[in-house]
Amino acid sequence: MSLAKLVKKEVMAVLKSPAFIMGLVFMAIYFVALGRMVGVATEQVVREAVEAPVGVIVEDEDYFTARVVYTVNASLKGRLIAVRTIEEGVRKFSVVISIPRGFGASLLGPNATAFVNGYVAIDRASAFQQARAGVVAAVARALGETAKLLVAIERGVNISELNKVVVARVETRVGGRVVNLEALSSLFGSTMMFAVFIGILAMMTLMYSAQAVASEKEEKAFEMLLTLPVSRSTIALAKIAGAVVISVFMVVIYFAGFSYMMSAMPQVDQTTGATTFTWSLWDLVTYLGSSGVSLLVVSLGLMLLFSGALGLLIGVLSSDTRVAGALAGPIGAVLYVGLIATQFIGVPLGIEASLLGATVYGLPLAIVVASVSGDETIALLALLLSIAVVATILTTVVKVFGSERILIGVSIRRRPK
Amino acid sequence: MRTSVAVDVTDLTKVYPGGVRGVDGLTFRVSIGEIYGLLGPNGSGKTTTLRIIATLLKPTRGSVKVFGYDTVLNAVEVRKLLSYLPEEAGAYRDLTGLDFIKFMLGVRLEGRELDEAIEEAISIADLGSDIKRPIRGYSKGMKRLLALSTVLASGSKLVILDEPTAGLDVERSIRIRNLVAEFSKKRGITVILSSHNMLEVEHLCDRVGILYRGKLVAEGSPSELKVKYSARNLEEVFVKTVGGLSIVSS
Repeated sequence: MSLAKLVKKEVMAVLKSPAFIMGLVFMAIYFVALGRMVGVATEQVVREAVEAPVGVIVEDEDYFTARVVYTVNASLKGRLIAVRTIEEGVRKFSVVISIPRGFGASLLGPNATAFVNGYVAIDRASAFQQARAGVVAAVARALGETAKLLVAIERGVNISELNKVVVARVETRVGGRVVNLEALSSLFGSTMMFAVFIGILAMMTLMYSAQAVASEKEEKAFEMLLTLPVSRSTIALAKIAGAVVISVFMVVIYFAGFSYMMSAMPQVDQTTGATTFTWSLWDLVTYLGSSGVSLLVVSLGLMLLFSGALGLLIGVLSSDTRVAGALAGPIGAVLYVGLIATQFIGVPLGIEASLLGATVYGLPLAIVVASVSGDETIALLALLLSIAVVATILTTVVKVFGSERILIGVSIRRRPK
Repeated sequence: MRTSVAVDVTDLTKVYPGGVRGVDGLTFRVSIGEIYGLLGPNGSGKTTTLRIIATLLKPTRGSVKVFGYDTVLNAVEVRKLLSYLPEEAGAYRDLTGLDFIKFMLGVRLEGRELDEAIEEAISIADLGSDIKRPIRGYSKGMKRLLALSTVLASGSKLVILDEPTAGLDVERSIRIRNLVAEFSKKRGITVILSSHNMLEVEHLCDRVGILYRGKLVAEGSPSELKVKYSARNLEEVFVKTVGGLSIVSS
């Protein structure tokens, strides 16, 4: 009975905390909105794979080729639309399939292999984008199967005796540049994994720095600290640096544990394909080059500074560690989930991607976008935006630490008339 | 900056957000080497005054100068000259007492000076082998002595003590009083302390300021005040100054 009362007290103490209630409401709204955004992004990918039109250039004038294409187009409900040039097709439909001369003749052989050329435009940085290459593969497979069917009917042979394969040679384009699809796939995958780890690092920094101030208040050591002969900005920066050091230490331990777990798991032979999720931090380093990697390191520093500063502000607003945890948890989760979800939702591979810099957490993705699209301005603008945001929050922290609000808190009571 | 005045408080007013007046037009001076006591009931403005002198709060009006340095304009310079013991001073639970002493003194001092100060703080705290145990296992009295040890051993010219013996047993209270008196006399440091304990203030302080509702209602040495108000002790002075009825209502 006493236990039940004690448990009830514990639960009520948290439930009645305004910070907890605010966090709960905010998290609910946030995750509903986020779920909707990711849902829309996923639906778009599925729609593209199943419904979106595909440009077709038929260079082969062979009658059999025309019949195969016609039949496939009918089965795909008219998704194949003739275009005159690759550029026109890519611009209009993002995916173009070119059927070269000799395609039909190749397929009419007994065990034939024919080739088609696929051209895929990637216009968003997203973990789903490379699925477009899968559309080319699917159409190529349909061409091969249809050719088999037509030959079997015309020659009156068993379809299972025929082996006709259409191989798609896919060229992926970003802007006007041709890129390697596998490398791009790995880049997006690696960016995602990078985001997962730096997100954890940033979130832990936020939590630790919030706790650093709140626990000092709780331990009643804060006032003595604030009367030491050092500037308040030094105290604030020391707290951020301390939180970063602890977070880095913790994440290194986590990462080591995670790597061990992965290496200890049985290796599964994964089928290769356009949508296979692959990642390697080394691929990320190779793709971005030294300047890109340097920017990534700077972005990591800015993220940690931002998280640390935000954590301090939360700590200052909080009366104790419970309130600090109730505030820092949801805020950290929102930033972290936002960082990961952006990778699914996708970012346009244009100058608008630089706006990601305003969130600081989106800066690494903006750097990857700049590298993929070959436009350094995106990275530069995003970096400037991030620096501005971090400078603003650091200035706010220094101001708050320099003010007496750090002791007397923030009052939202109305002044008596 | 040479001056015989350690602390110069002029027309000090503090209005908190929400309109509550912490102190109201307070003026007093504390000479170098003096032990000055602020007396008053809860909410009279003692802690607010000490916090402003310690640069933790900013005045709404008026000014406070510590050895000639303005507490708002030259806050870091002021902090170099003072050490502050808040009313509910705690310490980092997971550090040992020794870690805490090393940290608090290490920010102010270095080299041989630091080593000597650490030895002195250990001696003041007098915690025996407990000095190497985490603070979370300390009693209130042990924590108070630990915090006081860092304040007294810091070598600061001004020591501010907010209710230094509040909630402590008689033995520890006497020990703290003796330490404060000894350090002030031996080192010539200036002490400003606040207390509810009239007896403590009467025995320890050279001069006393009685605060009531943020205003200084009487000031002088304990003997001067007793003569002036024809009282046997400071308690009677206090009652005669602010009026018994007011005390009850506050």
